[in-house]
Amino acid sequence: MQTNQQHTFLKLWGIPVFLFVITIAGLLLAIIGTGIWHGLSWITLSIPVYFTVKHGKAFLSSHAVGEGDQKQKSSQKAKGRRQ
Amino acid sequence: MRAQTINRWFHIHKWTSLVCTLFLLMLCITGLPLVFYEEIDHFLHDEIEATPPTEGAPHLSADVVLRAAMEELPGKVAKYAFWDEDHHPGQLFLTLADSAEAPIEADHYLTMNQYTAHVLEAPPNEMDFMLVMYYLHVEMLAGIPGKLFLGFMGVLFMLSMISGVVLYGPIMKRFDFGMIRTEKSRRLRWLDLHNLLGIVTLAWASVVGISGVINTLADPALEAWRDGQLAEMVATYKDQPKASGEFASLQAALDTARAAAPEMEVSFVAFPGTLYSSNHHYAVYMVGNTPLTSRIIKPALIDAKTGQLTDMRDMPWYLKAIFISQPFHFGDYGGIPMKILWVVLDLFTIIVLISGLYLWFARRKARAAQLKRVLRQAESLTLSSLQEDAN
Repeated sequence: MQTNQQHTFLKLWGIPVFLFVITIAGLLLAIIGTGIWHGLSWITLSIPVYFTVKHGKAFLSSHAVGEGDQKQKSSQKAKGRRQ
Repeated sequence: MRAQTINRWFHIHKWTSLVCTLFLLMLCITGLPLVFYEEIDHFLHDEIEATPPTEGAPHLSADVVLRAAMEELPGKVAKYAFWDEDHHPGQLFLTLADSAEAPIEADHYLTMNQYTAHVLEAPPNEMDFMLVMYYLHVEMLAGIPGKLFLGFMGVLFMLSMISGVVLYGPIMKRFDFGMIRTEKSRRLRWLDLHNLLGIVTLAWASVVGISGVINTLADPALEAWRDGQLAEMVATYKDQPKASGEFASLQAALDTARAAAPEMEVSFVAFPGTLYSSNHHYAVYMVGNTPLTSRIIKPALIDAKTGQLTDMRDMPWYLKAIFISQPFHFGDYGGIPMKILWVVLDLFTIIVLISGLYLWFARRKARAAQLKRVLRQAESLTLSSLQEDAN
């Protein structure tokens, strides 16, 4: 039971907490110094952007599917009317 | 979480967001070009460079350069002098106005060559695109009240983010991170995008939001400092009239300040009567010379008549907080790649705002449609019952 709860907590909040910590770390790294610190900061701050693109692109690709669905529905309706 | 609790948080999220969204959209959009202020400024204006007349020639005395600037704009007084040796070596930036107390909108800016005391650049005192963006972003062209109002909107934005995180839990409980339901309705797809971008940008938006709110408090904080620590430091001058006439040497004041804090360098000088100084002093603001200590600011107060060091103290915590928070709002401390990441995260935030607005509209429409259905049903029920009665 305990581990199950832990599991659902991690599943829900694991990535959000990771991204939060990573972003704050990225923002702080660049203020420590230049050179290597800047580089580390850029890499770190790219991680949340990567996650967004990775998951967010489903939103864009779904446009065609969504509209297709609607077209299908309306053509079904049209068919229904014809019948 | 109980349904009632969720409902309560939903209302907090809805109302805090609704009130601040349009202002936040304005801030995000005007903020986009401001991230690249330096670069756009360079692009719009010719690159100016202060080249020494001969290799290794020394800077002229600050007094000579200042005098040349005052002759360029006769009848004005100096408010501030800035240096930026890292990015603009050999240049002295001066702010002049009709009086030391004049509002910043009436300031004139001069860029001087420190080797020759020539004017490198004297932009006309008018709003260009970037300045309009700047004043919109900082105060909606409405002065200190506008600034404080935006600060309040920032507080609402914080509340809307907190309530958004609280709602993220129950909504995402049964789903994987980043899931976007594409096959259901358009509203669900937008809701999922809103949740994804909202949770990803949470940390960045919190940091930029909090530091932005802190920045809006700069004016009251400076007032508090003038009334508190600064008044204490210049207590012996209390009954003297404001310093006027010929001032003591600016160059000597710089040298005195450098001698008082040899491990620091000069960032800027506030002239007597300005917001950043007393009525009797040059305030020479010294900063540390490493990336970490460059945020530590310490003003040396130099009597503008005698040139003597009056006092030099660490600033109070609330001003330190403002100075330290500034880079985290501007995103200008990690080179061009960081600025690009700043813009990307800003664009994500814009999508969160727009999708939130869309969800509110879509939900209202859905509810209105539902209400109409219920009413129509009720109507037909009443009609039929009336007919039954008639029969």
